[in-house]
Amino acid sequence: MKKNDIDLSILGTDKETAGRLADGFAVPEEGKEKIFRQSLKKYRQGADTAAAGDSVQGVERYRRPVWGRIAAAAAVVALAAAGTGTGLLMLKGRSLPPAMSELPGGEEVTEVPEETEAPATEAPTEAPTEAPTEAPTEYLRELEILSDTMRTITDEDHIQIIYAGTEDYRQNGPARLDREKYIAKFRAAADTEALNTPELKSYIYDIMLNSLHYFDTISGHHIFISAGNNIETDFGFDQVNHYSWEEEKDEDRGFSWAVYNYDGTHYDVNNQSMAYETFVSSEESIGFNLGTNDWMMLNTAGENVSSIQPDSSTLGITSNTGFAPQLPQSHLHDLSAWQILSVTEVNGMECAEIEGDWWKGHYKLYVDLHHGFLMKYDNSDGDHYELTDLRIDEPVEKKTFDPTGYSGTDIFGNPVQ
Amino acid sequence: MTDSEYRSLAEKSPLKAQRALFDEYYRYVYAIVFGRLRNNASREDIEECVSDAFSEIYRCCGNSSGHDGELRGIVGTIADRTAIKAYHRLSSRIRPDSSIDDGSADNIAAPDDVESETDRSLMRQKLLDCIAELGEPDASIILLRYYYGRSSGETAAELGLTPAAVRKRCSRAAEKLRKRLSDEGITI
Repeated sequence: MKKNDIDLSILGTDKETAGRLADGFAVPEEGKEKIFRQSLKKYRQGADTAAAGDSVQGVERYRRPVWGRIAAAAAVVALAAAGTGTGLLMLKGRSLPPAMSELPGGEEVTEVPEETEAPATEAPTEAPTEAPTEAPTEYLRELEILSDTMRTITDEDHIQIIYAGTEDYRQNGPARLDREKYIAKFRAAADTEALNTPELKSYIYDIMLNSLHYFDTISGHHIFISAGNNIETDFGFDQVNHYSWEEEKDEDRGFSWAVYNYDGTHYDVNNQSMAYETFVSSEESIGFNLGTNDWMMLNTAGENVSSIQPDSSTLGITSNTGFAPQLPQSHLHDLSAWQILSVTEVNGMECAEIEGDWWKGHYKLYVDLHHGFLMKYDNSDGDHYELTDLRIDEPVEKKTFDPTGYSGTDIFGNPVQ
Repeated sequence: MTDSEYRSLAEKSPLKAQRALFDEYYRYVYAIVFGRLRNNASREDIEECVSDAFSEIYRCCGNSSGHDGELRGIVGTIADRTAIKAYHRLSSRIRPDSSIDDGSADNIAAPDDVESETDRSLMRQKLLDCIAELGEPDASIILLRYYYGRSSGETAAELGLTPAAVRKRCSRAAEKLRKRLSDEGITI
């Protein structure tokens, strides 16, 4: 937000205020006609589907081909410009090339060769079991120096970049940087000038973005304190066998939640209200082998776009767990705004100590040099995060959810049996 | 519009009935959806959610089994529910979430924190009172610029003004609003 802006965000979130806004003041109407047309189309599609006796449209949304799922969500994740807003990555609707414009209804992508669907069920089960150790089969790629200007591309080009990255991952497994080479340079750096080269900074940025590539299984504990929330989380994540869980509690506020993903099903559980939501999730890991500069680009409207985050989200690992790509994009994409201060140990991991500035103020963080995990973070807004008790590539318990005593709904709010 | 009015219009022309419903409630639905999603969705996502809400509203209103009386309550409920589901879908969570990367934690109220929520509700109404005192078009300029995030050009197009007029009025109105809020002891 700019210095002279007025923060009216408090106005959101209740219907009474929305009613007053609607009745008493202008509401944006530039998209009104398009919205009306879309609403009619969706209503008619829903009516046609119901008439055909297909009552699982919602499930179909999650079962469409892997490529279709990426493209139908428009395959881009918006990141607000650093000067104005949040770094939280969300799916962003985009105008797609005409051949893909029908996808949100669950239809097939006609322009993609059919054989692209088959690898979605085959390749991912093989590559992760070969890649993760530091044996000679490790698939290495060159580190790109992060550019200080973002390039502008069309939406179609962006989708093609993601598609190429997905295909590369399917065929070759996760691409990694040569960690030994770069960590040796960190250790050998005689002073902060030697630490703060574009190369070493780009290494930090890149390994954080791609930290999912550097382990098969992980479990641990993290704490996140922000704006009155004091959340402690235990988590476990097995990328090879496609299950994960997170159990969170905020004792100060009396919250307790959990997420479980296994056997292709996702459960989002609220232990206060004894309610859960469930939907079909992916049984396949979708990885992306992307270049450093492919993660943030501008579209032709001049807005930041980024690639969809890897499948950790559908496997239930939160944006706060130390290997999600949001933070490097929001904090580290501008190499001139942060400095590496030292190499030090944090909670058993060899880390780069980093200090910098972003839209919320000043921050200090510690990044594990071997996997790109965010080990610790503090900012001038009082936010604190810390990752502890890490176990990497050790067996992770497969926790399941017992719905006894809980009321369950699907994502449309319909009760589940 | 009442439910029976909608149904009798729909008997003659479903499309006209849907259009009438859309025109009557578009602003309300948009404001509800925007309020829920403004911190974690793009403009396109918000528009998509509004269209999702209306397709569900048409479906509910088209079922003769249901409701009678004014439709505003049903419309509001469907819009809010659709927006919340979109929020969850976009955030991959159903419970309050917060991230190092955004400010959404600031808007999360504890479920039993009634007193704080009441205070916030009073604050919202007071804030809107102060904005309304600016008169039109200044009140709408302030909301379009600072709440809905529209540019001066977009705001000008919405209100039938020139961008230069929007900028000039916006800066004067913002100054007036800050002073008014300060007099009321409201900090935003």
